[in-house]
Amino acid sequence: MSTQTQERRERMATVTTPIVSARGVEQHFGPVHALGPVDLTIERGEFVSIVGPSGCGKSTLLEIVGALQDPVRGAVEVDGAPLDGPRRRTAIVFQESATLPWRTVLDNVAFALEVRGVGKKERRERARELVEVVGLGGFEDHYPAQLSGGMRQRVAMARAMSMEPDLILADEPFGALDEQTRMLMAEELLRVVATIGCGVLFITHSIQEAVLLSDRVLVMGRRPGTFVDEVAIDLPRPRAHAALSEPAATASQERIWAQIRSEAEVAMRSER
Amino acid sequence: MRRRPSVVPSYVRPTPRRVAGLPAAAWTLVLVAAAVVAVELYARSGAVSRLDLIPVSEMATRSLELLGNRDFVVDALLRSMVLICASFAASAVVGVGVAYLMARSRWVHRAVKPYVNVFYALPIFALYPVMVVMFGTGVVPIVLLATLFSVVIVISNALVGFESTPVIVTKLARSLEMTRSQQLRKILLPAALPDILAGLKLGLAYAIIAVLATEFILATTGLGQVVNRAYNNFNTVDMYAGILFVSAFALLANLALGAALRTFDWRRR
Repeated sequence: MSTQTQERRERMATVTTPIVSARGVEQHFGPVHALGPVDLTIERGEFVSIVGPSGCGKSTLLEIVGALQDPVRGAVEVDGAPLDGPRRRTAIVFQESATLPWRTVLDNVAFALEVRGVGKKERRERARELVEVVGLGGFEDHYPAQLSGGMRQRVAMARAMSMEPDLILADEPFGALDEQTRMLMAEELLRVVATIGCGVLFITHSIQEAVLLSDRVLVMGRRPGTFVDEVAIDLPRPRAHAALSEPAATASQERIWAQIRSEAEVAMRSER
Repeated sequence: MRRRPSVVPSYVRPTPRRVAGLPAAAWTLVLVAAAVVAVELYARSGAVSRLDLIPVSEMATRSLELLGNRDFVVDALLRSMVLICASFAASAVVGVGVAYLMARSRWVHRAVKPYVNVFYALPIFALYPVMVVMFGTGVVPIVLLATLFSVVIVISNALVGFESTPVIVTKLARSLEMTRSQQLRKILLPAALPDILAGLKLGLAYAIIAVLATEFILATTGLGQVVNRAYNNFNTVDMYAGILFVSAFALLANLALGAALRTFDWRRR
């Protein structure tokens, strides 16, 4: 490749290329055809959710975009460059809060910076700020076992933010939380994402959550997962829980539910 | 007046802080003291031959005397302690190292696992004639036997620890692009530490048993040999004094490791 084209590519990467662009991604585990082929594009700062019946390959796609597994076929570009391993600015938030039980809240939040070799004083200062941002001020010296599930997930979110991500991959991050905490955390996530302006790929079982949070909801069909529908959510931002009762929102929810239901029914019948 | 029995079943009532005005720790002391007094009285009553049992006070006096005896302290006490520490250190390093390799590579795991399993059942002391033939009666066979004897429990505990690292944490490590050494220092070792320490506690007990037992059967010096020689010469006083030292050492070492375990065990925080 000539230097000129490379330069042009880099310029384009910062201006117009989507943050995630995946084409023809396909995954097999042994004889099981788990995913795809699917195409996925996420624009910069866009919030995209994937909903679908369980076992359809949502998490697989997320792990492929996060370079935690390699697809059998297909190509993934993140930030305009082919993916060849975990990226510094991709932050992953897992379903169970991946906190380290032997570290305090502060040291958990500082963990990503520590791994990257940021000095002790600097990373602690940064972690202290982020602990405040996610509303855990006063709990710096607590251990994860002393926190509730929602608080642990806040720790994981603060750690993700410390990486200054341009892309957050969230795999059912609030799946283990109760309904109220879930809604609060969702609003919290929206606030955080709005502050750092990053793209988000969000996987959830909750249609409400998807509609509340997303610019776009992708509905994945039964295994091997492919996208069967794409629903743009045109609700004004900033949004709060009340937005879900607007007519546009209820219509979207019903449309998504109808899709998932028919997919799930077919999947259950074929499993029997 | 008789107190009415509680209607709450005993298994849901909280454990009482004190029984008869004493906390649990005090009761432990009371029991130990009672046992000591009982042995003392039994030995002094004349119901038992002095060749079988001597009063505890005599054991203690003789122990203190022995502490003033340079030959005993250097050749027996210190020597045995050094051997125990050396075997324990060797089995700790080798044990945790082997367990780490097993956790890291499935190939090593499958290659080594059968030996770890079989070693449990192997009467290690049966190897002692082989050791004597190969290494003589010096310190080498003792340390070797004791290390072999205690390393197995260290390996299996450390392996449990390494393998109990949550999958989600492993994924986190991968997404943060941690190097192997970072994964070891920041994820695997801290995650496994409580299990490793529990294994080391057992490993120490095994090392003590093995060193003293081996000295008993094949050495010419050492604490185990002191006890053995006294026993063979009907020197009951020295025999019990030696046993007292062994017990005291094992107790102290165990308490020290137990304290370390409590300090570093994040699962109990």
